[in-house]
This record gives sequence, C-alpha cells and structure tokens, in this order.
Amino acid sequence: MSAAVEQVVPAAGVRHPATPVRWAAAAATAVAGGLHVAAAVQHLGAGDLVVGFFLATALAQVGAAAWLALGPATDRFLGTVVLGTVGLVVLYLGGHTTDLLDPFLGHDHAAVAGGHTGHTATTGPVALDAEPTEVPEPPVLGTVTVAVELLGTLAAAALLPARARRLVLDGLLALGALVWLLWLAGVLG
Amino acid sequence: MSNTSRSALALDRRDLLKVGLLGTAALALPWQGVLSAKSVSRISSGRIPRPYTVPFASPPVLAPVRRDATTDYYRIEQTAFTGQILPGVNTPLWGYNGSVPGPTIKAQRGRRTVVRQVNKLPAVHPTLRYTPWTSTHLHGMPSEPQYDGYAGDNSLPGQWKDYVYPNACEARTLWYHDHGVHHTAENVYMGLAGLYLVSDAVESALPLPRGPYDVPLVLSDVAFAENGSLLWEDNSHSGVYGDVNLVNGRPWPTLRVARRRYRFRILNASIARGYRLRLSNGQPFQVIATDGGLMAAPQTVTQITVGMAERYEIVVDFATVAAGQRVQLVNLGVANAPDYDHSGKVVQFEVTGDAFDPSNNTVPATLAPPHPAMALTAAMATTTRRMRLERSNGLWTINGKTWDDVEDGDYEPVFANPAPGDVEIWEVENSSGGWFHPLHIHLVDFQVLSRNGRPPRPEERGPKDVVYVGENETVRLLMRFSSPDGPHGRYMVHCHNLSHEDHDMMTQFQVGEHDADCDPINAAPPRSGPETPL
Repeated sequence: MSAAVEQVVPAAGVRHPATPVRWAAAAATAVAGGLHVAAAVQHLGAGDLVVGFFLATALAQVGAAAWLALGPATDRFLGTVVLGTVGLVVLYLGGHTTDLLDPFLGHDHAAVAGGHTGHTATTGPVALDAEPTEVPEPPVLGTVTVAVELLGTLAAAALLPARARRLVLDGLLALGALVWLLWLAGVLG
Repeated sequence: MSNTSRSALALDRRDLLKVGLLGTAALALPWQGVLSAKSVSRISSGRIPRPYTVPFASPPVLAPVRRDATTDYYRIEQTAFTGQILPGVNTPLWGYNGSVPGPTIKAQRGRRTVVRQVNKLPAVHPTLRYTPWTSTHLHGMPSEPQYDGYAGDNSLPGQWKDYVYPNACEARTLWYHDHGVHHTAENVYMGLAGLYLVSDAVESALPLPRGPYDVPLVLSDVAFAENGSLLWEDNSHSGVYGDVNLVNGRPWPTLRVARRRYRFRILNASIARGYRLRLSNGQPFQVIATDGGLMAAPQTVTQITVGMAERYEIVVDFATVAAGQRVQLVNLGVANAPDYDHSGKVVQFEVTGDAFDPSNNTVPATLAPPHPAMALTAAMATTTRRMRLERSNGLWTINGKTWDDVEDGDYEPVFANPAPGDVEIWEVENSSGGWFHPLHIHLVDFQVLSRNGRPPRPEERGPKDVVYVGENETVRLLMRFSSPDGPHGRYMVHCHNLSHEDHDMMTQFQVGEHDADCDPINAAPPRSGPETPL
C-alpha cells in the first residue's frame, strides 16, 4: 500500500504556482490541523501520549498548510503531504475498527487481579464466554476531519504531475479496496 | 509540465472514484459500531421478554434470626447461584441469601441491628479471576467507620463479619451493597445489593401510603451473553451500561395498581446509568423524601433525575387514571449514558378497578420538621473546600488523587479533617462535558446549596448523601460532620459510578481523631473459622 504511494514522490524542485487548487489544499490542511487541536481537547483523559500525538499532528498540518499557501511547494513536498495525510486516515480507520490502538487509549487487557490494588481490567464482557462489545461514541469529529483531509489529499494530488498523480490515485484505489476486503473478512469491524 | 496537467480539471470522475473507495471506508466504517449499538446483549432477542410483559415483584423481606431488648440480629450469606432474570434463561448471579436484589431489611429508629455478612463466594471469580473479597456498606447509615464498608476492610471468601448499625437516623430508604475495594462494580453488577428501610415515629404518624401501597423500585440495567450469563463491559472504566432495564431484578415489569396513591421508593442501583424519570401521561407526582429521609414539604414535579445510588421517594396518584389504562414510568435519559432500544422503558402501571384500602392515602403539605441537614445555613460553615472530579492520564481522580494514593499512604491521607460538629461547604466541580459523577459522601447527610449558582432541582431540596454532578457543573454542598458524641474517624467519599470508584475516584476524610477504637480496618476485622452464635 504505502509502497505504491511512495512511488509517486516526484523529483524535487518543481515549484507550483498559486492556484485555487493549491489554496484549497492549504485551506483543507489548515482546517484539519485545527480539528486535530479539537481532537486533542476531546482526548484529554486519554493520556499525554495521545494528546501529544494530536497536537503534533495539528502543528504539522498547520505548518504544511502555511508552506502550501506561502512557500515553494515542490512535488516532493506535495507527495509528502499526500502520504502523511493518507497515513493519518489509515491510522484513524485502524483506531476505530480494530483494538490495535487501545493500549495507547488507556484500554487495558489483563483480566486478572494484580498488585496491591487488585484492579480488574477487561476489554470484553465477562461472567461467562462472550465476545467483547463496545459502546462507542459517535465519531463526529473524526468523520469531519477525515472528510477535510480527503479533500486536501485530492487537491494536493491534483497539483502533482500526471504520472505521479495517477500513481497516487491508483495507490489510494488499492488501499481502499484492501480496506473493504479486510472489512469483509472481519479483520476490520 | 503544463498547467493543464496540474489543474483540478485533470481529476476526472474515475479519479474521484478511486479516492472514494478509501473515502467511503474511512467515513463509514467507524460509524458502524455506533449505528449498531441499539442493543448490547448477545443473547437471542427472542429470549428477552417484550417490555411490560413480566409481572412485578418486590424483593423479599428478611426476618431477623433473633431479637433482644435493643437489637435485631440478621444473617446474610453472600453466595453464587443460578437465577432467572429473563424468563426461562439461567443466569449465574451473586446475591445476598440467593436473591437479586437482596432481601429487604426493615429497621426502626433507635433500635440497633446487627447484620452478619458471611462471604461464601467462590475463592476466585470464575471469569475475571480476582479474589471476591467483600466489604458491605450500608449506604445512608451514619455507622462507625469499622462498620461502614471501608475499602480495605475486606472479608475474603470463607470469612464473616458482624456489622453493627445504630439506626440513629431519621426514617429513610437506605441500601446495602458491596464496597470491596476495586471490585465493587463487578460485585454489585453480579447482584450484591439490597434495600434497608428505617422508619420512625414521625414517618409512622403520617397518612402516607403504606403496606402494599409502599413499593420499592430498585432500578438497574444489565446485558446478557449468548448463554444467558451477564455480559460485563466497563468501556475502559467509563461505566457498564446494559440494554435490559430491571426493576427489583425483573425486566421492564408491569405492576397492577388500584386507583389510589402509591408511595414508590426509587433507588438507582445501576453501575453507571443515570435516569430521568417521568410518567408517560405527563402526570405530575410528588417527591416526599430524598436520600436522607423526608422532605419538610412535598415537591410536585413531572420528572426527576436520578443518579446512581440516589434515592427518591415519590407518591403517584392513580385515582385520576381510568381503570384499564396503562401508565409507564419512562426514562428520558441523561447525557453520557448510552440509550439502547428499550433504555427508555422502566416499569408499567396497569390501573385496575379493584377495591382498595382508602386509608393512608394522603400527602400532607407538611411532612416532617426540617431535617438537621436542611436546617443548616451557609453562614454556619467554618470552612469551604473545593473538590475537582476529573479524568487525568486515564485515571479517575479527585483533586488529582486516587484511592491508590490513600493506600500508598497507609490510609493516612485525608481530603479533610473536620472536628465533630463542624459545618463545612464543599464545592464540587466537574469541568468535563464527557461524563457525570454522582458523588457520595459517607457518614453525613448534606444540603445541596446550589447547582451552577442556581437553586438545586426541586427533587434535591431534601437531605442527600449523593449529589449528581453533571457535565460542566459545580455544586455546593453544606453539611455538619457528626457531633461530639457521634461517630468519628475515617470515611470515604467517591463517585458512585462504580467503575469510576473502582478506578479510582475515591478519597477519604477524617472526622475528629482516628484511634484504635474506630480504625476501619482493624477495630472489627472479619473473622475466619466457625461462626459464633448471633
């Protein structure tokens, strides 16, 4: 997946003129940065690592937006923006459809008493055999953020040379297909 | 490279579709858990009864094993057993004397009770693998610390302990439940909770509904696994929410009522679910008592908010409802308690034309002399303390501290150390919009002075021992700490979302001196071996 995306990074040094599409890419990236600040606030209870991640992401996106708007946005830079943003989308998907990120969100796995505190921590239902169940919160902020990031990705991709753009979009197609296959297979859910 | 090849126009429909495949996945898949969260139980829906099809029942009343001139003696075994919450479905439970809820104890003010709690639970929880130590708290009773169910005063399986209750308080609805440190939520969810009613001369002189017209409503919510066992999920210690509402251990029951007034003693015994209750026909009802007993005057309302462990006694008049009509007590829900398909349903009243006893069918305008907690004024307070309830780095904390900090300090750290008889104001702040905290202060009855600077809700204008601290709310509480000849020592204060309590939103205060006679762990420890006669 990521290998397909990595191939699109073009030769450095090509500067892109200021166009509405470039401004759109900058605006979408900036808005996504702002939304990650909101996400940091929303996850204050999840620990410093999670909050720090959101704030670092916000900082990177705001910086990228400024560079897109004002700096010499090269193809290499655009490719990095696309790659980074797609990575964030994949991370979001993984976080909401698997329990891979639970340890970072304070979800413990040990179903035993331990230490002098004797805490019990579980990730699933108990008393007798059953599958874990979640009572998730509506991911409204995440959905809005991903939508904005996808717009930014599209805009950034549109600025790329035709061959690179095709590679990027083909890579995204493959990634999307893989995600749906994993969902159908029950890996994501 | 031409501008055209770089323009947005170069993105054709096919390109958009390519991105759309990932986009739809990223936008849609995270929602599936939410959209399918209308139920939690994994058991076949056909095995869960339709709401209001199960007949109502009250918990049994426990008879004392012995009485003497001053004291009633009770014996309760905490056991694992298989019961049926869902008709025809066996569910492993833990209960007091094999009953969920446990049997009701009825006490008289001024007459002492001794309750022997015998821990006959398995040595290890069959699924969670923890040792099920228990510590029984009589919630609402100003007990001495060693009989208060202190977290740390734990009876291991095979041990027993005699809890002594002075019943020196005003008439009220109390409940006894497990308070074993770090496992309270699991133990209560499995069934370790029951009612304890204290009456007194003031209450007995009132013409309030009594006997069959004085009805307990113990509310809880559970979920079921495929095989009928209880399903436990505490959502990263945020709370346990079931999709089956129980009243006295029965799913959405129906109670047949006569066309007269009924007194309902409502207890929210849920782990984490708050309720906002109203009658389906919008009919007003009267709140006559709160956690600490009778209000000075009834409050007429159309809805009440009931946080975990709160008790409200209400009187509903069915005289205006035609025979044959059905009225439901429904749950409008509170913020941050997930609603499932039937979370809005609680209990149904089927009004009958049956003959009834017309006596004790009145709610007087004046119920009782002002409760001592309600007679306090803010000017009497000598100290104001502030308490922040918050989640920090994944832990539930009070002013940044947890019960682990108390344990690590050998049970010495205290949040406050009032002298017996002191009056204080506690200002409790919940600055989060993501959760609410019903704060329980042991030993005392308090008055809710204000909620966000405004007067408390009508139903809160009576003596309380739990206060609902909602999202982004600050409540001010006024209380007197015992008296020079009353109990002293260390008592807990904690969130009554039991998952929060277990992980680890609990601290303690100390009234007066802490000495060997009131040491909550060592003054009256649980005992092993054969029981002595009661």
